[in-house]
Amino acid sequence: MPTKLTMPRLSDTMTTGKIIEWKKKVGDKVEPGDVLAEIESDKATMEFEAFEEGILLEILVPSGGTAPVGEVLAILGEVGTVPLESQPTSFRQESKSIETENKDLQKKTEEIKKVEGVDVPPKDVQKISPLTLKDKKETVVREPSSRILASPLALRLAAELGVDLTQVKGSGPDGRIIREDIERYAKMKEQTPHPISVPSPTPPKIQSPKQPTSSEGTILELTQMRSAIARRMAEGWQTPMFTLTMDIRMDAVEQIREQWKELGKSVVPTINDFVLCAVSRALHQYPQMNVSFRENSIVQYHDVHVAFAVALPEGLITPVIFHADKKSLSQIAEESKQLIDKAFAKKLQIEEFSGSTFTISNLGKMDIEHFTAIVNPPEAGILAIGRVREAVVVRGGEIAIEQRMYVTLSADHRAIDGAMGAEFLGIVRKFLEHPISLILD
Amino acid sequence: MAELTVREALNQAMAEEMERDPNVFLMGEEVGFYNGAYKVSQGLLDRFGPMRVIDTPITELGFTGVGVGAAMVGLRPIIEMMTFNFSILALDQIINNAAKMRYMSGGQFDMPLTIRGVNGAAHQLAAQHSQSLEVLFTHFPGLKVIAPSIPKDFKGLLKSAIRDDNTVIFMESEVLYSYKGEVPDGEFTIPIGVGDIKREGTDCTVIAWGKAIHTALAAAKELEKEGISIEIVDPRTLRPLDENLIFESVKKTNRAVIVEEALPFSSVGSEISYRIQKNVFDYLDAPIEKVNGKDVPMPYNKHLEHLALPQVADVIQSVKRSLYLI
Repeated sequence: MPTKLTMPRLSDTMTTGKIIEWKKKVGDKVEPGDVLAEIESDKATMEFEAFEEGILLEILVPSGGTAPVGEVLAILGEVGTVPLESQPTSFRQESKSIETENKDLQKKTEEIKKVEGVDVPPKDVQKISPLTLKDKKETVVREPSSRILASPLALRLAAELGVDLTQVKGSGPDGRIIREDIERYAKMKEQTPHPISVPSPTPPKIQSPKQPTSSEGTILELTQMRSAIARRMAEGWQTPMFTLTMDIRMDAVEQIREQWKELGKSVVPTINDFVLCAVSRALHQYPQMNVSFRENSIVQYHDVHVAFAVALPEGLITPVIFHADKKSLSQIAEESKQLIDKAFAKKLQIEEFSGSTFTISNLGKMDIEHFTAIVNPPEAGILAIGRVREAVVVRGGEIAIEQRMYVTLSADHRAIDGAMGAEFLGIVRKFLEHPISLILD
Repeated sequence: MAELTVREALNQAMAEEMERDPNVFLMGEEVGFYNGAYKVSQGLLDRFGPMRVIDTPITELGFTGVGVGAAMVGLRPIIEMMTFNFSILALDQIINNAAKMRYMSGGQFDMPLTIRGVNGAAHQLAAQHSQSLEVLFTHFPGLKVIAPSIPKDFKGLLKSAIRDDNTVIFMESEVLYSYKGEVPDGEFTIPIGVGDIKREGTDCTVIAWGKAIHTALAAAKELEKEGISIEIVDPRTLRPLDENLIFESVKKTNRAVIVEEALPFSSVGSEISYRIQKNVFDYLDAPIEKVNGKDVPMPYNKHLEHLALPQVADVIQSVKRSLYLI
């Protein structure tokens, strides 16, 4: 019996997945554990493994295709069966009689003929010298839906340069697009400013052959990660939130980091690691903050799993330090470094970025003084960290210069009140202003 | 380096090989006392005697058969066809015996046979004696087919052909016999199956062999005046074909024009064209062009003959078409 291979649910929040690439092709023998394909979920790219042996009979969702969870992606048959491609058509499309297929074919042929009729330019227009291309305006413009004529080289170049062929005017016979047309178009594109409205640390790829453009700008297809962020943030925005900001003195943390550096240790904890560590201890000490609001109840978690946001060129991901309250500062530093490396390599496994109970987000590195974050449901709190700055403060009637850092808590007001949030922040501050307590325990 | 005609280069190649190996002998019509219909075998009878330079009756099937038999017992015959138009009579020996003997005997017999002679048109030899017949031989496994264009290649490749243990069809051209070119002094051979870039260029690859190389070179000169640089690839051996040399050139120029004197339908150029599109499809920016003799029996009338053969203007036109200039 052939087995249907369906789109797996690779994370709790995954609704659709994208096949990045099939690693097996139709007719290939498959062993349990073999990687069949790479699938991009809303958070990461993961390997889709075979659980049983067989022959890959048919691929229904090709590389680059998207399918909802549970949709059949491919059919696996017993060893010895023949790929569906080489079986008669009637076997594959039982409901469709050959007669109707023939009719369809005829209709299609007629459609093509019709389009080609519109397409063929007058004979004299075909003779265009590439030397005079630049000033020729009567090159053929095709209907967007009609077949595009392009030389094989032009097709390859278009794919490499991300040129949308429907936008290119061909200068060859019958409007064939040739290399020169692609190169000219790509050059022109380069000189035109990119129509992006949302600033982004790394500009996304603007053009790929699939991306259509509209009159007001380039349409960027949503990646799995981007649509997940959009969905989660919209959900989080529905949460009745309040924010609390506190200014924390960081001189002691900075001193310890200096000493740590002098010791020549390979991994020196970052400010973020200190915050992770302080927050995890604070959550342990103040479990009222380590909660999630449910319809008729509030869950108070036993474990402290702190996630931290990592900005990637293609979006945002939040790897988790599990049981962070039970881990030493250097352990946290070590682990966070590994997770960041993995995140950039797109190698994070689903279990490494889900299941957190609290999140921190740090834009200090990018010189942000203070900001507010949106809670990441179902969590009830998120801490936004600003940069460590030199500040003038008045202490006991004296003016002093100190290293200081703003932290801003956003909390779900259904589960947490302002005073609770303030108390929690006070504990975080205590740990950060006396970091020896983070090292000694 | 000496400047030799193609005729002298071929003569040297045969003389050197006959000197080197007593098993080598030459047989054909008028090769001995007349010193060759085109004087290619000039002086060989005097030098090597009638046992090794043998005049035959006008019996192509017969003396090719003798060549096959001689090769089977260890001699290395050079069979001269006055023209390959006459080899049509010998096709049964060539296709069914020479090309198959090694295979059908399970390798018990080598077939170190070289069949050489004139191929293609000269001047007003009319329909039956002007044909370019390379495709009759390239079709068959068991035959190697060589069609050089310059004296050095003629000499180096004929020597390799004589030393090869398979049947080699070696195609010359009447109008090239007096063509002069530099030939290295002393002993040298050119390997079978290795092509040569006859001219480097950047805008379009022109593939030609034998006489057509000279048509292509003349076209290159004309095109250069217009700022168009063509690369001329001479495969020299048609089978086995140095296809990678062709592919690399096409990858560079993104265009290919094949020039051959043979008729267009099912020609060697058709096969080369297939292989180019199959292997370097993604590099092509224009359809592959073929310049051939016209698809008619060769006219006797000299003006019509001129029109029926590929000319420099035809090559220029095809190159320009592939560059989208016309």
